[in-house]
Amino acid sequence: MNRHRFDLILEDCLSRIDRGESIQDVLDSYPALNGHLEPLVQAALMGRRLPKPVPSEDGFRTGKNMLLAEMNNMQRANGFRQKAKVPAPSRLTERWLGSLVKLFQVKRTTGLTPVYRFVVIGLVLVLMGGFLTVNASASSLPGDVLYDLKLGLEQTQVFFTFDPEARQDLMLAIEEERLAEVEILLAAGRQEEVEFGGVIEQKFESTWIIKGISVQVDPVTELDGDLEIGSEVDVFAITMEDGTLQASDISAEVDASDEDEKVKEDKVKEDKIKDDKEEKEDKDDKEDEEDKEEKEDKDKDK
Amino acid sequence: MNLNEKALLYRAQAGDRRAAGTLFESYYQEIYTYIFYRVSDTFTAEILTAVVFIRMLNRLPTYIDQGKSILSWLYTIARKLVIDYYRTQDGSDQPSLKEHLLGINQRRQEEPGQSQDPLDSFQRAMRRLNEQQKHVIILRLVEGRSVQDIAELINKSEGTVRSLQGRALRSLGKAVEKEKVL
Repeated sequence: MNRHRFDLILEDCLSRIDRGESIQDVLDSYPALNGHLEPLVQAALMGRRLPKPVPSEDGFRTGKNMLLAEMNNMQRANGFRQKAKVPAPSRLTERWLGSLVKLFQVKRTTGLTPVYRFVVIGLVLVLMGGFLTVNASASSLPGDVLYDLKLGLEQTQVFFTFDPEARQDLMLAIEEERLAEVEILLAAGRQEEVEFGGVIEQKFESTWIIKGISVQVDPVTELDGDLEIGSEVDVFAITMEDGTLQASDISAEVDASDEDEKVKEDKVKEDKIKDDKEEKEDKDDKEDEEDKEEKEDKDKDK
Repeated sequence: MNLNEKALLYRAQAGDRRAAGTLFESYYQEIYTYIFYRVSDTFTAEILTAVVFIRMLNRLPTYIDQGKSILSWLYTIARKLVIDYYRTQDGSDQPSLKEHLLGINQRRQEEPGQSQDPLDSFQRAMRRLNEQQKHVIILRLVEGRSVQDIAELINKSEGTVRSLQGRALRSLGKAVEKEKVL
């Protein structure tokens, strides 16, 4: 047997032991190689017993301080880049996909809502076996040609995630992704429109900290709803070339349960008004009838 | 590299201390484990691990993202640093690191060493492995990573990783058997 094949079998044995199969069962599936495999599997199991070394707290702290001290030195020597280099998407596949996305954006011949249009694009690409090109969109940022495709693919993923817990995890991961995009654009000094959600952590005069990100708020910023510290908000903003984030609109998120409650209350009110109206109509009808009867009686008497 | 990693790196690149601190905290254990098994000494491993992150910081201004993970980049720096360290131990031309470590070693206090008793023979055999075999064994057996994961981290094909693992385990297996006989 050549060595390449033997290494594959050895790896199969180790993976199966990792998955919980007994050593004997694993070795029994290769009876002819039992004698060769056993010492190697035993050595691997011995290796598994090697302790994961635990660094001392002192060592960790000293190391971190050394790093931060070096950072200060570099800052004093002006050794940092003012703007990070963000590679621009230029590959042919990205351009091709960008055209596809634009086609859907401009012509809108499908009559589908934006989200579903991108769900359709996502499905088409997956069916076409376009995994590589789909991956190309994963690292795109707001303003890139593939960014809308990325949002569409995220929606597709949410759409097909039926387990509520997994869906919740996915939504959180998507929220984190929006924040990471903002941070990259800020570090790169690229001017783009962005949208993200988060909790207001601090409020200074013209700077608010929302989910760890400094947001500039000026008199032109549209503010909507209850915007206290601790409120969940949606932020529409522009990443500026100087690395600041200028908010154009901050609005409090409406809690879904509150909204349901409001809808219910409105419905009760509506029903009551309807009932009152019907009751009044009934009463009026009754009165009319009584008047009529009275009139008829009078006529008869006459 | 995922977007969160990218965001951290770009922020550190622009001189953000918090981002650099987060990078240090996120990857310290992995780099420390690798270096510890290369130098077999807690204190030296701690210092060399810190130096890996300082080298990372020094290279950040000229770093260009080529899509590899940060950990893969840090392993490359760590591997080269350990080679430098052993060179300085042999008295070659790297006085600064040697002096740095010697200076700290003089101030070193006695620390309770990590017990290596039950696995002494195995660890002795580990020292005889070449650098790449040792790295694969650490990642596969100590850290429990998959072959695919390791291939990505050390920039080799999965076949090469399996082959390195096979050769390392043959060598370790022989050493363990020999010990049993003795």
